[in-house]
Amino acid sequence: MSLAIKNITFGYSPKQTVLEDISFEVEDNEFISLAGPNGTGKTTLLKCINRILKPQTGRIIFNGKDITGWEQQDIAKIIAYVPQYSQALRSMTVINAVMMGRMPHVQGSYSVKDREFVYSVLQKMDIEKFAFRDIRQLSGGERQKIAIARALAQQPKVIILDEPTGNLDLKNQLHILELIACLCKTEKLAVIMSLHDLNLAAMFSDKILMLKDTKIFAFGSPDCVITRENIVSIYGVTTCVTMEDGYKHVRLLK
Amino acid sequence: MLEQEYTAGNRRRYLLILFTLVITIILGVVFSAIGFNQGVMQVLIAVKLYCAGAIESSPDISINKIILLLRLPRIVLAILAGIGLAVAGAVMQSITRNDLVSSFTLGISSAAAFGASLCIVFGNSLFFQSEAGIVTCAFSASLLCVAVIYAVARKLGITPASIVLVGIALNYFFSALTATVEFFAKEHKLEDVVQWTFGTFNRASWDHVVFTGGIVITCFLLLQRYALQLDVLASNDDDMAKSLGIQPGRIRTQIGIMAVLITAAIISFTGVIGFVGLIAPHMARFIIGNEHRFFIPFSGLLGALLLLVADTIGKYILYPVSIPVGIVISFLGVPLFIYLILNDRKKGLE
Repeated sequence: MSLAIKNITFGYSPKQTVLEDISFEVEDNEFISLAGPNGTGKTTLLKCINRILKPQTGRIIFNGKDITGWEQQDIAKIIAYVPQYSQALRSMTVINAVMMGRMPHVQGSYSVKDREFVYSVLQKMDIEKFAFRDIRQLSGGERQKIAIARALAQQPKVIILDEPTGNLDLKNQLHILELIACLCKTEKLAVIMSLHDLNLAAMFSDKILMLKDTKIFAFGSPDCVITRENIVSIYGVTTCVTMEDGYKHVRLLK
Repeated sequence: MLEQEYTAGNRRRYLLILFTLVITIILGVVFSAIGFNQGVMQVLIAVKLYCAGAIESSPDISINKIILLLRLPRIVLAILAGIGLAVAGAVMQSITRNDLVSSFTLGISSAAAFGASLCIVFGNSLFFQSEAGIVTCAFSASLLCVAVIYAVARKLGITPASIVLVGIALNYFFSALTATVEFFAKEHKLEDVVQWTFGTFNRASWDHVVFTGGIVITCFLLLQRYALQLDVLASNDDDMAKSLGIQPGRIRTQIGIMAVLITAAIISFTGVIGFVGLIAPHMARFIIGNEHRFFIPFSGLLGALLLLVADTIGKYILYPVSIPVGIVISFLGVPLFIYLILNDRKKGLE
């Protein structure tokens, strides 16, 4: 399985380009993190990949097929999306929230098969115990797990996540990323995620894509991409980059 | 184990809906029997005679005719109007993600009132003097209102905010137009206009029932098919909804048009009946939850119950004067609504 992003250019208005000629490729079992300062278009790029936003130019190729013009529903069968903040605008049980992931596959109502698949996802994610709780009563970490469970219920080949650890504490950050990395391998998923924390990105990603001023600045394994020089030119911040436990570590210097 | 609990919960909800439906029908029959010696039996006899085609030869011909031609159409219209207004309100709240919206927020009622007042005050020909003329004008004006909302919202992008904003603007616009018409109206015509805006089932006939019922039931069945998409749209932002394969703009347009059609088909006949479209969905959400396959029909039934009770209270509380249902529903609805808000707030704080 492979998903190729080809020459994506996007601007919210004709004058202001947010992304310029972005191309990269992702395969199954591969975990790619997007890094870069605020406003470089990480979220925009993620939304262009599953066509929530329609790029001015560029194509999305899935297994050699051009899916750029596909119906939203068919794209949703391949690509799942976990937004930055998992909202709960209305009170809803966890099971119903996860059931929504079956949406792209159903016509009319959820079948027994749909329900059984959702139960298996709940078990896999170890959240059956609060299947009938209201999502609004859950903590941030638990709610993020529900959002990921819903994405899994879509039976996607690719999962896109926007800052999944954004408002989580240290333990939950680690827990959620471990979970995603594990799912990436066991479910043979391609994962594309935006992540601010370079240390976490270095720890979990197979590849890191650094964006700067609407373009790709660097793309490759964490060892190649996370360097003192790259960080200075992207963020304008001096850091000390070391290698510990086999991972790159970034320490801020004043 | 999960499956058992899940299906058990759903079964409870279906039973609750069935129970409410039965209560509505029973109340409908009981209310149409008020004041007759034989009570409910009289209603059943009348219906039976009608079905046998023997109504003209029956002994209590006048009583039976009162039931068949005055009471029953009024009761059925009240039920249909309650269902329609509540369902329209429920789906409007879902597609705009705003619990304070009903199809009235969109200016539909003011548009209909404007159409009716225009016809009453300036209608010269025989047709425009007739009831059919008023209904036609009210209906056309509401459709015009929809067309404008749709055109403007399309320019802005069909988002919750654009729908609500355009709706509120149009509400004021049509109210101003109605006020202008009233300003130029002669006294006896002015009275008719004001009467119309009260909202009443006094004029109910089987013709109304057939027309309104046809639209309400068709739209209801269609809306029920959108239940799952509405679940997604009501509880997620548009980006998330898209990522689940749904097209928010398209669905909003389709559902919005149906909601408006229902509303127009009801208030063109009855005059303005507000509030039920706001409060019935609130009560329904409170009792049965947010899943639209239960929430939509349950809202409808609660709306029907509310209007049935309000109409009957209005009819008998100051007998022989009949208070328009539009007024009674506001008196009943406001305290109920405030109670619900308070309760919701308390639950939120815990």
